[in-house]
Amino acid sequence: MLSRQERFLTLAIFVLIAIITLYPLAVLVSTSLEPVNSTTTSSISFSHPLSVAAYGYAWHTGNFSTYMINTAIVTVSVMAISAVVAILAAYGIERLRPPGGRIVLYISALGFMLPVETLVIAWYYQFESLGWLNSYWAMILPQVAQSVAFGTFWLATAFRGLPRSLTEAAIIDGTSRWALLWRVLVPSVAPAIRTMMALVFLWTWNSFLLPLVVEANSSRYTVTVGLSTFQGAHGNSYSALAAGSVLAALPVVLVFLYSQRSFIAGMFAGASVE
Amino acid sequence: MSFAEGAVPSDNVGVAASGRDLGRTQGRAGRQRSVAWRRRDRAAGYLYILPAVVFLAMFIVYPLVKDIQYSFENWDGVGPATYAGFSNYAQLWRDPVESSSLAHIGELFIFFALIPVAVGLLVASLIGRVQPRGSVVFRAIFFLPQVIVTVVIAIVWTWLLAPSGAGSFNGLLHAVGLGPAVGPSWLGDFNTSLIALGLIAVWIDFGLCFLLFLSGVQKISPELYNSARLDGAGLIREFFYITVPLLRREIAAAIVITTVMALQGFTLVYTATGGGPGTSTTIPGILILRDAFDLGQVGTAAALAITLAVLVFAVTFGIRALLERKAE
Repeated sequence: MLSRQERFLTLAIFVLIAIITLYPLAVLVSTSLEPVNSTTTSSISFSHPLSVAAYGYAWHTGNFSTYMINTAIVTVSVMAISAVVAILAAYGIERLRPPGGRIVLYISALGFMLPVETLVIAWYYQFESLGWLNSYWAMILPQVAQSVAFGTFWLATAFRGLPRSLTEAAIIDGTSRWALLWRVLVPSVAPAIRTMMALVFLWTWNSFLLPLVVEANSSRYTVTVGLSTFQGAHGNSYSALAAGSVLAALPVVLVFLYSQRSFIAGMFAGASVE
Repeated sequence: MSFAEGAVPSDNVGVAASGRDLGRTQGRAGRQRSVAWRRRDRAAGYLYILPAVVFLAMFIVYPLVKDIQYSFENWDGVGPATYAGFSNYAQLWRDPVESSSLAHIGELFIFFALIPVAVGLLVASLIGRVQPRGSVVFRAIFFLPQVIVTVVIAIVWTWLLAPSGAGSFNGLLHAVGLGPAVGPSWLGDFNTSLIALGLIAVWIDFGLCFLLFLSGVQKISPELYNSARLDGAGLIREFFYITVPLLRREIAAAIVITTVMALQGFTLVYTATGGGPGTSTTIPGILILRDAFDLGQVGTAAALAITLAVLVFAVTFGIRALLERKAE
């Protein structure tokens, strides 16, 4: 029996945590609405004159339009390539079972546990010797590899959970392996694929160390690198930096709000995978 | 950004291939057909996993091997390299800055992982089975810190923890008459910088842990608590003998997820403090960059990089092993 006191206490706790969570974000948005030449951060009182000039400043003078496009290019490429490669590999390992296939699974599991800090110097010199430094590929390829490592492992688990009857029915019908994969199996593991895409999107959009190290040309900066170099380039305009920050964070937040279940399912993966 | 936050390697290995399913359908002829099918399947399998193998080999395995190679060399990144044996690794232990970076990671681990897990567990168990209205909204809010770009989080918290400014905590206290116009610089003070970073880490991870444990707690049947109460168990007993054991899986997941975030806190530290002031918040990732690109000591950087990787593996597997043994 839940007393009214328990209900109230629970609601109070929830509201308190919500306030603590949202307060920094409110400060961010409030600061972004200050005039461009403001020299201080802004509290949540919103008592200052509101202005969206900072957004225009960040977008044009601050080059955030470029940074957003760069980040989108890298992120979409990584998502697309790693999805296809991981689906193919997971299908191969779990349904076609070539001998030695499981080794790829173990390498994947270990591979995506390797921190970026560990691999980044090797990547730098690797791309330097290939002449691929300062290019989109230098930012895309390593992240594809990491996403493939994660995705192969993740989707292999998903494929493993599919009933054999799906395959049998298709084979009796004479369906090709390719068609079987893309027309039958993939739709069956669509939630797992959506979760993989959500996580790859989050991680790639958010990536910082790799683009920082391999891309020196500011015309190809991603939003993360752009933000970190903004203060040096554009003086002390807190509002412009805040506006740029909001722009940078917005896409992921919007995608998250739209597809919460995929994100949260991914984050909770640890509990369910076991 | 860290890649191992989400999924955790499953222990479900060694599942035997049940290749005889098809044979069941059509008797002896079916079995013969299925054997040939299996062989062709396996060959095709290699083709299907080939792209993944290429990516993994080129951009995970090869760089790792090169890293290990660099760690045994003296190299400045430009000229020729000379063999250095284990001296780079020895250097890690001798040099106080290098070794303290590993200690800092350990301290951050407490804030990224242990505190959010512990507090999340406590608060979730307090709430128990109540689902307030609008819980979907709350869920989205609690989850937000996980999906906000880390650089943005670092920037905002730099403002919140600044000595002054309308958006800072100091400024807020001052505005309500509780503090001076210019307060302490939490991130800029040797003594408080690491803890301040830890505070940010708790803000990032708490919501996730809380939601994880809430969903777990709601699966616990109230019968268990009722019968425990009838037996005279107090709140503390309830917590340690019912709640915690039954939330084993969630605790394990939370610790693994948050631990990996702790061990990869590069973005947060780099953006918020740059490793400073001095070296009070320097973590391995920052030193790796400094050693390799600023000091031209690729060997040292690589040795630290490998050590970090070993640490990540050791802690992750160690924690999972620990929690799984508790499950016995």
